[in-house]
Amino acid sequence: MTWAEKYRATRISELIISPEILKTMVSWMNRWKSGDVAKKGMILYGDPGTGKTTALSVISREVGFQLIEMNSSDRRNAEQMKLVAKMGGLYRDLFSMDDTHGGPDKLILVDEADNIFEGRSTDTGGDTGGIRALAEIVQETHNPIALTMNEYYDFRRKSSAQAIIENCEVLDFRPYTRRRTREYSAYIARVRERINQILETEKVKLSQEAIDLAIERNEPDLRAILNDLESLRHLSDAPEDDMELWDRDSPGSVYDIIDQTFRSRNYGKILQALRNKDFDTDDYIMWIDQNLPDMEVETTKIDRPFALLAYSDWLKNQVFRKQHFAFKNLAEEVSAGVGFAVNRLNEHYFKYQFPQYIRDRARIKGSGMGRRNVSEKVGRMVHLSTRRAGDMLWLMEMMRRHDKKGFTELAEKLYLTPQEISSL
Amino acid sequence: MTRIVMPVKNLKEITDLLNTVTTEVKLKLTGKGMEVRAVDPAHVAMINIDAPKESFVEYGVDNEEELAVDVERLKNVIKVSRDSDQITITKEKDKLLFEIGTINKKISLLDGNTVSTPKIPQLSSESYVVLSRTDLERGLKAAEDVSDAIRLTLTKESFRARSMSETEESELSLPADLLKEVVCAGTVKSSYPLEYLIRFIKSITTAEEIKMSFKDDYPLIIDFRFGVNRDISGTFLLAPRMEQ
Repeated sequence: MTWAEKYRATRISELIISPEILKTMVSWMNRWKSGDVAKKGMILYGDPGTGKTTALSVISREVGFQLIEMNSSDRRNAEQMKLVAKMGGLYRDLFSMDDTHGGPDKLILVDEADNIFEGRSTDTGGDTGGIRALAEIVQETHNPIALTMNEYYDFRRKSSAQAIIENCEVLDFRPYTRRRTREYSAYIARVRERINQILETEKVKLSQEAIDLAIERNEPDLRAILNDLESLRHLSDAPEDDMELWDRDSPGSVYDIIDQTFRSRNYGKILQALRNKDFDTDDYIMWIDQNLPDMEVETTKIDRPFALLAYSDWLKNQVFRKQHFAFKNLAEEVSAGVGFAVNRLNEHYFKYQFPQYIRDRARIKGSGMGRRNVSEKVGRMVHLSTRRAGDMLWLMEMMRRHDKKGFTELAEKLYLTPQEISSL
Repeated sequence: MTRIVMPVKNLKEITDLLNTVTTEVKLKLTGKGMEVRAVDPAHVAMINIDAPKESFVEYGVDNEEELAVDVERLKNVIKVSRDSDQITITKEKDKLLFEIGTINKKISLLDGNTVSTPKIPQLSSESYVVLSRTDLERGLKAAEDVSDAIRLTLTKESFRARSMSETEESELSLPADLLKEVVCAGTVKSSYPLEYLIRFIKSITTAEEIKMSFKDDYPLIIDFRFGVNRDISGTFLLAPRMEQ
């Protein structure tokens, strides 16, 4: 058993989470107990290792709920969802039958709800109906249901996610809101205290620097901190040497990397983060392009960072045009420096935007498909090829504008979808 | 050494029963016989099986032992056998050897620490009904696909099992003379998950009578005896549906 599992909090007092979050969670569960339910579900989102699942299991036990976990990510399709989450939501719990009041008695936990439903292949247990099934379950449940996830913003964009969110209290699960505040130091102090307790129980001695470094590198991911420290345990005889071993890769999300690009003053660190990214250079440039105007306060001098970005974009194209793949990284490395070219950085919190260009392109492609479908339908009706019919679509456009009644009749006859109509 | 011999039919029935609720179980072998308990992941259905050593053809268990197995694997073993066969199960280190007539099959045991055995809650109910399995099975099959729940109602005069949706309705109604035994003062009613009941009833093929005890908003306790000689006893528990 790893330290992270072995020393998982078992009581509320051991949880290292923000007091506000704790309060919200406890009151949400108590409202369920007292039959005064405002929101049936609760979404906890935040970085891995911050204690979402642990907090749920500890608090639910103290409030008096049995915990039903759905976390085997390999087999969570709509079918499985119905069998566990739905059943759990509608029926009482066999283990709390001696409890006489008869109200809600179990908490259903759907772990990592943001990545259950991706797989479309049934071999991997994927099923696109999963999220809709979950929405239904949240609506109907007689027991509290909690979802945890890492990427709330990605989740929000999925279809049917809205139906879930409407019925959920949404909680940003982070131990502190800002660095270098009293809240932050209190959090770090608690982490340190816990680490020292563990080291003492395990009879392992590590240098203070090593502990600080582990915290610095990983927080707020407690699990990673403990894993790192545990990997050093055999070095506890010679704590001075342990610094060498630090280098653990973790893939950064696009938000983190963009944030670093703009805010970090350490070019090497940005490059390191880029090495582990899971999106390509094109996306990277696009993201910077989208967010740069909001990050530069002195708008009159915005040409400087943009010039740099344009240069990196040109480099990127040269790589493909001239097949100079040796320069492939150069474009990325130049873009990584855009943050340094910014004259005065927007110090306020800013939620990075998804590139408009990519979004538009996706839409244009969608409407292109719409036109194609219409051409096909028209072609079938008048015995023309899809292409020839496509040349005649202007006529439909005219009809739509000038002869509403005729157009509606025609659209009905062709069984056009609203999307296809709007593509005209 | 642990070595037991039993009719394939018994093992098949036990496996099917376990398969209705779970995928991994621990078979506990004691001096008295085999005990198995399993609960579904949502804590809605539970099964408890007691197979006394007399129900085995041979029962060679020296020390108490727990065998953690994958139910799906067990089913695969049974698939290759015929109902009339006998099956010999021998434990070999971390494997189980199955000998069925001319076929030998080995499966790996699971790590016992990862499979938990549920505690059976203390439940009892004064009102109960004993009825034939085939009657109940017909009623449940009629209700299949109508709704996710089935509502059981018991009075001194009759037993009814009713399933309802907006568009469909299905009811099994058995007057007292078609029931083997009824004990009930007043009226008791409660709803249970139909899907589990159906899976359960399909997996017991040798049981003739089943006893269903329940009361208002209380778990359903089904007691039954099964096996080639009906000497294995089983209990199936189902949680009641929560009413708003």
